[in-house]
Amino acid sequence: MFVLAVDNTHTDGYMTTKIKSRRRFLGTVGSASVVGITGCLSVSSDNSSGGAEDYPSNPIQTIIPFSEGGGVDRSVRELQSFFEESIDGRLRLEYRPGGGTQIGQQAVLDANSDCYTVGVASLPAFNFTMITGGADYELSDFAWIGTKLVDPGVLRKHRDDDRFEDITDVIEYASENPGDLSVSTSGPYNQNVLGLALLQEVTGAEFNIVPYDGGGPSRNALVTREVDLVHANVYNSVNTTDDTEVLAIHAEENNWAELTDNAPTFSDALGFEQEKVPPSGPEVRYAWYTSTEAADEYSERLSILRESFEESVTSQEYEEYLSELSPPQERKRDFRPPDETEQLVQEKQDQMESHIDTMEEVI
Amino acid sequence: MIDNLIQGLGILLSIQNLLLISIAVCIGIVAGAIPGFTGTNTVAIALPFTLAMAPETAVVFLAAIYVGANYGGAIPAVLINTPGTAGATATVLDAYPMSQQGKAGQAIGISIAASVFGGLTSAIFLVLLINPVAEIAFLFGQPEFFALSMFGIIALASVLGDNIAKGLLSGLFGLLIAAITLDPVTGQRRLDFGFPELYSDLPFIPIIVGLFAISELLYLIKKEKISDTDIDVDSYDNVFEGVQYALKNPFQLFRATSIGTIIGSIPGAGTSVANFISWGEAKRASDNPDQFGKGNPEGVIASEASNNAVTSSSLIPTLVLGIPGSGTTAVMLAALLLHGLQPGPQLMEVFGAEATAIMLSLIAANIVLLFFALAISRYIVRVVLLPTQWLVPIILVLTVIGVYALNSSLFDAWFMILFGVLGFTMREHDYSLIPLVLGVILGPLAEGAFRRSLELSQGDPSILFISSPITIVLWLLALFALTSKPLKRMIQG
Repeated sequence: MFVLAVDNTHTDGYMTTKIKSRRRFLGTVGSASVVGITGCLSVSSDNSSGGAEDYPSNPIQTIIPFSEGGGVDRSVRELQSFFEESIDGRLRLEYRPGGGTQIGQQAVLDANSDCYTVGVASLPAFNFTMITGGADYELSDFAWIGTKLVDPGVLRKHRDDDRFEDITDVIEYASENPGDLSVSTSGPYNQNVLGLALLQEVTGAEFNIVPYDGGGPSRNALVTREVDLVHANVYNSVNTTDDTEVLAIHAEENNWAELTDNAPTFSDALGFEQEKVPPSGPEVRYAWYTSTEAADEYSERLSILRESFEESVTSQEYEEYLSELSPPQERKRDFRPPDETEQLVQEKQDQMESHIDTMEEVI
Repeated sequence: MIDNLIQGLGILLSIQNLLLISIAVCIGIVAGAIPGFTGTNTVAIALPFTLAMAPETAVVFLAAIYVGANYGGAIPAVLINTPGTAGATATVLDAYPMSQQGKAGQAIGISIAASVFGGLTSAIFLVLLINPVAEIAFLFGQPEFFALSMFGIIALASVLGDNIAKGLLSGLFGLLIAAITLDPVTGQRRLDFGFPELYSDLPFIPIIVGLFAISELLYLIKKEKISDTDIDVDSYDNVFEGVQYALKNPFQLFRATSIGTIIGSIPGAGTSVANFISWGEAKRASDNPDQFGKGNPEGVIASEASNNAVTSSSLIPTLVLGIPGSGTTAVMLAALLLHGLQPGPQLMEVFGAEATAIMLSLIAANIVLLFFALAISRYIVRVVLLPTQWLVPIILVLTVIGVYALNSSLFDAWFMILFGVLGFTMREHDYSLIPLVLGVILGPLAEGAFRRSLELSQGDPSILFISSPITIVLWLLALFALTSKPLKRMIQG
């Protein structure tokens, strides 16, 4: 199945070693899905309660724009119990995959359910639905609750590939032999392609960029040495650590050293100004939202959603939970409040729109 | 591997899963006993209802239905001269004559023992071989996947029915439908008619349920009841004699099981091919080939052991390559994807416990089958007398609810109906649906592999054909599949 613009196996990197967590995840899938189906067939929420004092008196429908088991799903489930405790209510997960996340986003907007429906946007897949996907909505239709996750971009090579010691060797080779080095990405329009496109612009290197059908196949192509390199993200590629190593990371500084072979940042290693290939370009973020229409009418409920989200994402318990995962995941937590999230989404939109031609050129 | 076995057993040996396996085997036997209602149809109808289950439980449930249905097909084959499933077609040749000779009970007993032996042995092979096969799967790159996809469609189109051209057309139509979604390399939109539901992924489950289940219901509407043949229930004795007979012929059982296991592991082959090849081989090797087709119990062993062996081994390419071995495993592949289990070379690494649980469940399902088949077969056969004015609406309502519930989408329900009408029309004109489904499934894989191969070779098409021994062998096999039937006919005059 084709996946556009996003690696929806985003955090599967740690699955091999995280059997316990997976067991717990699998265990919850059944019950959550039963609730999901019941929800589909039941009449919509009772919204007659009006004010915020008894909110939420019904489960909050949480629409995930991917299938069960993907990165966004796992990210929501990780937070679910903390968020439910914080808001003193229940989340009812519902899966609306398809349309490069457009189906799920549209479902949240259509629900218009008095802040009883929220959605999770995976950036930049979310942005591409408006740029290349022909979506009927625009950014002003979304009221942001907050951002919870960041996953920076990285370039990996196979450990057995002794042609290159570091990223400088790679760039040198790709400049002298244009198109000779093949690099896999998880799709045609996404953060990985943007990262490579900008890198090419700033260094003069030229890669043969090969878009694959999702993050798993793109990383597998490097493991089997079908390609020379893969452009991926830290957490979604961590399960290839035995076979591959990180050459460089798109970040202001490498706070993920233990997961990335202590690799340098691109700008440090290659000596260019960070703004030329901003780390925000190749990164993935998950942000929660509801519809502006629902938020305008029920602003107090939106405030409760926002407060509970912040409380749960920034809680000590959630951090401890993430740090107990194997490998530890606490550094992927990156809370951003609603105003910053809105700004971030707008910046991402501008960034992707301004570089769409560059991406089209390289693929 | 030991870790996976222990964890897989842990998943399997829950009361919930064992109960589900028992229920699924019974559902499978009942559905398999309805002539024309194949294992694929049954699994397709059940698929949306597995949404509420954990991923591995869902696939275990569907696999157990598959096992039950493959045996269930033998019941009407014995009693009313009609195979319940395509995999039981060769069973009819000897089982019904046995029935006419007053040996219906013995024929049922043989089919039970042979089915259980074939399924069980093949499932054990599957557990033992999956890891080495997964290692081989790592050798598959983009050119190999393209060659394998083409081989799968060509092989299936060639073996189903007499008309290869119709099979190929069906497969090509499937590939065309698969091209509705985004271009896999450039990300350009195409053929989606403005429906966001068709933008990046096809609604695959509505397609499958429509093609198999709805088309079958439309087909049944034309009939008052499923079978008009009277059933001689009194002849249902001596079942245990049949079981004993089968067990006293271990060589026959092993040969049929081996054929089923090998054929099942070839993408695209499936039960309908295996049971005929096995039956033909048993006849060729027999001292009394003339007795085949006239009520020879060895013929029943050959067909039944092989078709149930296919159920397990056809999961090999499904799990490790993401290429379904049969129509039913095509539906199970959809189930794996629906539940977030990504088939492929890394399956055993990432989802080792879940994959092992699925394989072990086949062993459990076959053991369960032994008991349930002995207990309920004589009653199950009455299913064929059900009036269709009851059966059709019940299944239709369940199907529509099930497909709607997948995404709370009426689009999916309408898409299912559309493909139901398409499937019915194709069947009425003798076009097999299996190549179409394989085309829809393999289309994105084949196109992506084709385009990426050319990207990797910077436009040199030879990479698709001669880049490795695997591609060469696969293309030669495809050529053989395409030409063997016409050549045979030409030689025979």
